[in-house]
Amino acid sequence: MRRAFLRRLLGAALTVLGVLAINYFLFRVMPGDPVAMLVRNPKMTAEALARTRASLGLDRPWHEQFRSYLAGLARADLGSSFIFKRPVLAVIGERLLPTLLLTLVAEALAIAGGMLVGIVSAWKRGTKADVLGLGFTLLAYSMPTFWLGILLVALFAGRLGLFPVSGMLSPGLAFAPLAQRLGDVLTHLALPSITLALVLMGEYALIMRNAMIEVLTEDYIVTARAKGLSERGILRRHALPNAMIPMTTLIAMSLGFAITGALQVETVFSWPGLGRLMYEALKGRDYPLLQGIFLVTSVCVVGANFAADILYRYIDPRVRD
Amino acid sequence: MRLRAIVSAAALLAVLALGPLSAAEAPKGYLLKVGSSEDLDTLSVFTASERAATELFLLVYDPLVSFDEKLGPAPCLAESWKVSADYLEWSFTLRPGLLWSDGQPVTAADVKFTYDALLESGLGLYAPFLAGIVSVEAPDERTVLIRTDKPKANMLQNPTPILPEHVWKAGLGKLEEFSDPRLVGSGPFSFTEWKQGQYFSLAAKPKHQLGAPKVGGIVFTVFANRETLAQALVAGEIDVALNLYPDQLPQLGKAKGVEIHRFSGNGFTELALNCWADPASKGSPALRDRRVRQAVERAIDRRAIVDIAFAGAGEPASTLIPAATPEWHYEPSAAELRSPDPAKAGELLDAAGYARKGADGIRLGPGGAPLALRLLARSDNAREVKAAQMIEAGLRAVGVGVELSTVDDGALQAAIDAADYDLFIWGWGGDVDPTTILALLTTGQIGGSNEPRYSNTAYDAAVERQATLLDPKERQAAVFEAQRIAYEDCPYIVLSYDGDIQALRSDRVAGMAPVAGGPILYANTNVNYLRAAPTGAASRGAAPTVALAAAACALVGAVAYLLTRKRAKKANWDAK
Repeated sequence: MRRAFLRRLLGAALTVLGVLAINYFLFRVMPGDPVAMLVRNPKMTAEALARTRASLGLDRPWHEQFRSYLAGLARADLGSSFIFKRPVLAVIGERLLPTLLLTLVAEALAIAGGMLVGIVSAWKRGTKADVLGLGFTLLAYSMPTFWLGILLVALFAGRLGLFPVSGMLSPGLAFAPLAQRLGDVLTHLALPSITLALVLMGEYALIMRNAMIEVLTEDYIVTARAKGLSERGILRRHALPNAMIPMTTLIAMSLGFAITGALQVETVFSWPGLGRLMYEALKGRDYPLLQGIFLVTSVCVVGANFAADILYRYIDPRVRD
Repeated sequence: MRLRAIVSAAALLAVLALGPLSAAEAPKGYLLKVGSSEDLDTLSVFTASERAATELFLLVYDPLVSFDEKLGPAPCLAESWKVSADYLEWSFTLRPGLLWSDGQPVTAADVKFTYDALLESGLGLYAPFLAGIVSVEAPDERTVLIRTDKPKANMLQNPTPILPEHVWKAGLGKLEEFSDPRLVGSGPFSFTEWKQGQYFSLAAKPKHQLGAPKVGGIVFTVFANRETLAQALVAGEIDVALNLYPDQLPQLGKAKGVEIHRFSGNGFTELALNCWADPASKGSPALRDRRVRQAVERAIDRRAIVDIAFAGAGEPASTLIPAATPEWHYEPSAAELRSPDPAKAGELLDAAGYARKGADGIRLGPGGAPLALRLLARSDNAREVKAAQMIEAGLRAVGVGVELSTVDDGALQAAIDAADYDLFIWGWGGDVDPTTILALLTTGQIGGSNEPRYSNTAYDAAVERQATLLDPKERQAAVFEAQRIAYEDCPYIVLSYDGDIQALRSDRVAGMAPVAGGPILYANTNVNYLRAAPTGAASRGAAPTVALAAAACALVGAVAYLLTRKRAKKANWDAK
């Protein structure tokens, strides 16, 4: 057991390292010069360009740059962003928490809602409740995120004026005390998290329904019913735990990508998250920042898969041996 | 129980996401709220390259001489100036009693320090404004002496912010990394905080040599999309919205209290033609012939491009300097103007040796190869891609094949740097002074900003001469001459002088007016920030929304509590 755990941990670490190396060269193979992107300025002289290039360390041979990148990494130093001229960790850190706030709240809503809809649909298969649930699921699953977001803004912020339009904090509250800002952030959180949750919910509900239907046709469910257990008891004790196995994979994968997966919602709602930062970094060919974001993302994805692997052993006794 | 944990976790995350609160005290008075798509990149004059940063520097720092509301030179740190008879030595006298925001006096030594640091390092957006300066001296506390190698026509169009020496001298030798987080300056506002990707804010100073601001502070909010930007203005969350699109005007026109300003901006979108005759050029040799370049222009209908592709945002263009600076814009005469005319395009191409056509209707060159051009457009700019499609159709109609591809900025820049393109669409923004735009196409800028790698000694001479002429009439003649030559040679086909839209809530904020018939903000001057005054109409508070959200949270909590209780009971019953 312990040995298997260590082996998986080692595998995960190697994966992250591999991703790091590939990313490093991938970004540099892309056409485009970060210095030119940084100073698309008609008045820039050739000397000033050369100086800027030297200050970013881009004038050194590639193997030297790679070596100093790895050396920095060993000291947990991700370098300095070309665009923002600040340590990459600080730039990412400022954006990481807003992203986590948005995606975790949305995931929690989506998991709860999606499972509920999926279970009810499967349990009441063929009835009106199922048709309704399945219809909602397919609609939500196929809905373009940005369009749903704009619709919700137009309705709840534009027409009804219930929620703020966009951003994370009202412009007027830039100087307000903490409690007022906190309430303001939560009202700003409502629409983007509901948008993201609705879209995610479709997928969760669909998988949950399928898994549940499969489980409900198993012999042990019939046996349980024959023993005279209540329907609710069968659902909770016998069907749900078995149907959770595919769900765990899906949730783990989804959480792993949650860090950068909210780009569309962040753009519609001007939410200051990592997805938008990644887009800016990519546009500006900001290599250190791109590497930093991809490092965080890979660690999250690999970490979530690792966690799912470990979790499997607890929810599925067959994997344990 | 579990729900409560989730809610508390979310609240904790929200607190953390807010980040550290600014130490600055809340400004008293009205907070002017500006929304735009633009954010800062850095807080240093030596490294910033975003427009938002130059706007911030206009507010926290002062130049020697600033621009007034007609973009004429206005006293700022300097109360007066004079120039020697040979126009090579300038003397500026600073106002008495100027103070930095940390209480230290502003002296001529600060000016010398700033200019020297910029000239020596060559870094940033401002160093080029100082071109031609040989020495800066500070003989006493209030006198700055500047010597130039040649007469410097744009000496008074120099917006370089003056920095405090006592703060920035610590950064000498490492100006690429150094920055002053407090932005100690002499401007009318002091910087308070920047939340990257969200907003940056400023507080008004109670005293300033140009008069104290009438608003208490400013917050610039970053919007990632224009739809919500317009919505926020209508909803009253912001007072001014910048960078709007024409298709948003109907929505804004209906809203109460919204005043719309449409203007032709000081920038253009151009079709660049690779005319480099060097063996290293990877562009089509056909474009090295001026007649072919002129034929391309004749095949393009600028009016249609502006109306359809740019949705009416802009004016069909001709020469390099936009009409937004009328004293420098050269309008070609009727004889010079190449209006769209496919027949004339055909004649030009025939004369250039492309008279024969292949079976597909594409013209064949002298060697028998078809005349086909590669056209690059920026993938994330839908308007430019649409314009490219229209240009493709126009060229095909006169027998020129076009291979259109869309690429991102980085890939396009790489193609330009390698001279590996035939045609591309991009744009430039200009300055108040015409030198910036004219210098783009000088021979010295080949490999730099001279993207078509165009070279004409007559053009270079005209551009160099205009920068040394202090007489406005003489200078205008030289600026016109340069534009006439470049228009005739056609390395750039300037498609449109880009239009821009700013909208403001005139029911909330009064006093702001277009600068020189153009923009309200991002206008090269801070006059509108100083003139803006609240009208006293109540701004929509956040309190009702907060209360509503609190009520909603309470309701959800109560329902959840009831549900879990009910479930617990059932579960107990099950267990029995």
